[in-house]
Amino acid sequence: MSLVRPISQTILAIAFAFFVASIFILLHHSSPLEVYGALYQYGLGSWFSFSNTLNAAFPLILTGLSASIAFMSGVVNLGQHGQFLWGALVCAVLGVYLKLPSWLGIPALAVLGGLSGAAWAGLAAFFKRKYKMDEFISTLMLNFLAEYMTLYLATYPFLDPKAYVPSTRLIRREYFMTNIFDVNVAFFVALFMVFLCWWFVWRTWRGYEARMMGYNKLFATVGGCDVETDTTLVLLLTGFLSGLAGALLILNGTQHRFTKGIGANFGWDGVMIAIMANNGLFQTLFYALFIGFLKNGAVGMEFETSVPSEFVLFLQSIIVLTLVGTRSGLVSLTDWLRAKRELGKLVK
Amino acid sequence: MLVEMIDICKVYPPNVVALKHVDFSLERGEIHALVGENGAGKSTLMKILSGVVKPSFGEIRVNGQRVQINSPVVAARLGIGMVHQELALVGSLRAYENVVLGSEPSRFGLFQPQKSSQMVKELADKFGLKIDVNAITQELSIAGRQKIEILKQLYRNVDILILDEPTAALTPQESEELFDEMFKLRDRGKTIVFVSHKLDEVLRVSDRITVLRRGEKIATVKNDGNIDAVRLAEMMVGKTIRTTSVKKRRPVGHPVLVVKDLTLISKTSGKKLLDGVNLTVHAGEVVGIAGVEGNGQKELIEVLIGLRKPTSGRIEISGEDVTSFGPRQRRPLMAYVPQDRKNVGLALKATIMENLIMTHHMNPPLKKKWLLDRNVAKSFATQLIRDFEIVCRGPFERVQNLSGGNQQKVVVAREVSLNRRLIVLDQPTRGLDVASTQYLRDQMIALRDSDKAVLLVSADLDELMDLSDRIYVMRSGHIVAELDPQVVDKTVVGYHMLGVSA
Amino acid sequence: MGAIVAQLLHAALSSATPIALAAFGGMFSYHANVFNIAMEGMMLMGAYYAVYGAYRFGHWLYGMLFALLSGLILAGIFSLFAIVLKVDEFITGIGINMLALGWTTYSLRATFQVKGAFISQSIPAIPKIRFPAIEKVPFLGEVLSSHPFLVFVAIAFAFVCHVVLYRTKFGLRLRATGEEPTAVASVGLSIGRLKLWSAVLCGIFSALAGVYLSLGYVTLFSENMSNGRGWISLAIIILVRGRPMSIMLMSLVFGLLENLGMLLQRYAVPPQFTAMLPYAATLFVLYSYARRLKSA
Repeated sequence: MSLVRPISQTILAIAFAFFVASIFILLHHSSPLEVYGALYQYGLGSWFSFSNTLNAAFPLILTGLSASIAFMSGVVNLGQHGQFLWGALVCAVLGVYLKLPSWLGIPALAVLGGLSGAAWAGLAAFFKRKYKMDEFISTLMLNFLAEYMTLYLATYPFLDPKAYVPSTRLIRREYFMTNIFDVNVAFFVALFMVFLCWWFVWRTWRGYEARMMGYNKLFATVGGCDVETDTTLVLLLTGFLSGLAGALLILNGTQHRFTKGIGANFGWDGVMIAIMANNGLFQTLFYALFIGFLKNGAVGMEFETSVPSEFVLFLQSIIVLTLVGTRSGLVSLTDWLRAKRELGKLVK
Repeated sequence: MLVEMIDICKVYPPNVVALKHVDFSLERGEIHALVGENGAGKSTLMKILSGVVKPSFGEIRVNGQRVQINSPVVAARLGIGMVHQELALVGSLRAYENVVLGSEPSRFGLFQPQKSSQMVKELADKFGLKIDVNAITQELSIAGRQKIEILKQLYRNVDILILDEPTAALTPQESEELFDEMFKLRDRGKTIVFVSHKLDEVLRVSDRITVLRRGEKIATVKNDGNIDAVRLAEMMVGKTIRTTSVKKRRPVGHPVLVVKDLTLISKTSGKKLLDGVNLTVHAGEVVGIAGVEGNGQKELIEVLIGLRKPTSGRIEISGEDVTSFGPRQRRPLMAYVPQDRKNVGLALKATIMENLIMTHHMNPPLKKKWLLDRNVAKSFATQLIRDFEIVCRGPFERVQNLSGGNQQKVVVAREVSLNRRLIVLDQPTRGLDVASTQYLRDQMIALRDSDKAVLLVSADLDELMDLSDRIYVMRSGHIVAELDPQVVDKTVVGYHMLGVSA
Repeated sequence: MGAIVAQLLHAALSSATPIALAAFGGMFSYHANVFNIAMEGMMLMGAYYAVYGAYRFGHWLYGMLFALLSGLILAGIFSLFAIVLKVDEFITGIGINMLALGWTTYSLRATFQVKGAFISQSIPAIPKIRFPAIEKVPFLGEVLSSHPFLVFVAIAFAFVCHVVLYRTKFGLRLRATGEEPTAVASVGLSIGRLKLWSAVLCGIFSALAGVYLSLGYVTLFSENMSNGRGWISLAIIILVRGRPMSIMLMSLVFGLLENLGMLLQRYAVPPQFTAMLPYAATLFVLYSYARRLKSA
């Protein structure tokens, strides 16, 4: 019963977003039907497309989770991008030099990548705790620092001299993660993290404190919650999730090395997914899959029609805006209608 | 008739019915009191008249003409202005800037400060309001800020001035001054609506009285000596009200809260917010803190709960020195009902259960190592909902759906069930209806009778006088007096609050 | 040495301009109590449409016209969501930043058929102003001369904004809205309208910052070329609590730092490190601000 409203809202909003996007497709002298057909064909149409969508979605699930948990706790961690990059870089570098059997090496690299992300977020947590610096700006600025630092490391000390763009050497072959029926194992790791985070948020007392802090920080403080530690913990956890996304992309992506631009837009995508999901964890999973579908379908769309793949970046932002707009607008609309009904009762 | 409001209905989205078919009228040059409990619809009715809120139904006539009052500007054009209970002033601006805001004297878009100041000064002199129009607004007292609000309306040439609970935060002496000003305004031809639930004041100043109850108009009566407070109270509440008094003196126990030489100096302004405060609360007594708002009560509470660290001094609870503790470490020793339930006492978007288990969640049986036991939480919340008669659909309903009184019950249920030896209550009955207020007062007496130490901060002097065994009076961060409400009377407390000798 | 310092200051003034312009825009929102973080996107959109208009119609004035229009459109979208539909301002801001990034990246590809950046000899840049009189003055001449006129516009705006904010009716009302919206509503002014104006001003100023970026600072458009400048301007606004003169000053400090990097590059410091300077500086400024609060 309580699910009907959010689901119908979501469907309405997405439909509206696709409608708005069709106008732009028409302006581009293409047929929206063809474009969306291609999106569907290459994003969901076959097992091959579908498994590719799942594979495209796993970093998004993790960065989305990262943003959702942070926002839900009232911690404005916008540093997913930087945390992701450090996770990826550390994993890529250690993957070249560390010699371990794959059963041990792969989990170790993934965890170390996650920890690097956590450490980078930990810097913001330290700033916040020690100097009361707002994490909103500090995580943002740390993104830029991470971008240039990792690029430096990939350009000078760990450069693969044979590569065309600045990148590290290929990681050892035993660290390549496998697929199960074409689906990256990393996808299942991401699913597991969704469950683990759900457990943390809804079953542990730290999770309770974090959620209460997100609702009302003063309430939590006065109620005796350990808000400083909770904030630090949330930053570390969400940093870990982003770092893990980066590491898994190295281990189970297509490149198996750190290259310039590997972070793509995963950080901001995560933020957008959290916004669309209204910070709900399972909603995050859903929207991550949805964005994964768009990104994966975009390749086919460019191939089949004259619309370039960059169009989905635009489509994505339209969807975010219409979704939040519809949600907010519908709430005031239904409130208004209920008030009308109540007045009807009174005056009749 | 100067103003007629006919058959007014108001529904706030989504489904709060605030007014049901209310009629109301004003005659030129009268002081018309509008009384009713909190939530009776007084403020809503007046907000409709002053254009802040649109009526859902009904019509308004001014001088016989039917009018649509869509905004305060339209209201002002019709000569109607309202001074809200929560004063709507910009603290950092000067007093005269607040007065002229919205219709500023200007030339080519440039604001003219001197001219504005001069105009406001003349206006204040004309109506006999004593106030420094060049003062920074936030440095003025509540009474002073209220005068600015009145000037704001006079500047807009209003004939009908609506004062919404103007005496709520004033001392008896300041209230007297306000009444004098009201009479002066009436003598100069202004019509005044005096919204209040203090019946003695209403009977003292008004020419006519309209009573509202639960959104309905009960009666409009002439204040000609044939009506008294008991009769009015019955009309307001709808039944004979039980008068508090469960006061029996009991021997007090050990000191539970001991505060020694507490001083707090503002880091930003260097002002002494608390200055050498000493106080003690024993087991089995209710200790009241009286004072005009903004004299250090807020800071005292913040220091007591651990939100702010004192500059110097010492706080002991149950013999333990807690001066350096934060809220988390103090909570095992004290319960706390904050003044602002929406921003401090509750997480409105969280469920009733989540609100009820706060603080309790730090200990077993709720806390089990890493986990929070959901089943224990649910049965605990269900139990409290039953014990404290919280009207709701169940523990998983969001707190924001509850009425103000029930929200406050959630806070009180949580804090009382902590069963701490010390409980601090900051304005616990503000904004509640009579029934909820009565309920809370009974709770406080019950706490005292079960040997708890109760510290009560309140702006409602009657409440303090009724409930407290001892009263400390605060002024400018000092404790200026310790009084026994059995011995002294309300006006004496008022003198101490203002700092004039009795 | 003097020549290097003059060169440095010249460059500092140049890189301070987009930050200052965007910050002036954000300042109006700040005072209207609107948490507007859309400067980044508005700047990016402005930069794109400046290049589009200028290239398409052969004059930089068209670029400016198009950029301002794009700023107004984004301000309209911001107002529609944040003011009319009452969507959270922060979320709206992020949505607009994403919209700008998505749309410019797509348009770059769809209109100019390039990925990454559009560079062309036929993009008319904003002409540089020379002051023959000052040019003769040894040091000052080198610092002040031959800047695109928007640099001087930015400096002038510091004074104009100061007057608008503290000396006009609009400024008084705006500051009142930010501090106590009920006070403004109680005298019948529309808060929504004041917020709308602040959003519009933000759109205009941020778009100007974009114009300067793509037609003045350099003459090209590249993907995501605002590169965090909008965020830095936001940090500045918060740090100086929206005071126009201080905004100008802080922007100059950032401009200086950005170019100190160029200087360091001469001493073989890798470019990745020098590029970090403005962001590290933002962190450092935040840090010293926090320290100041603590010790106060």
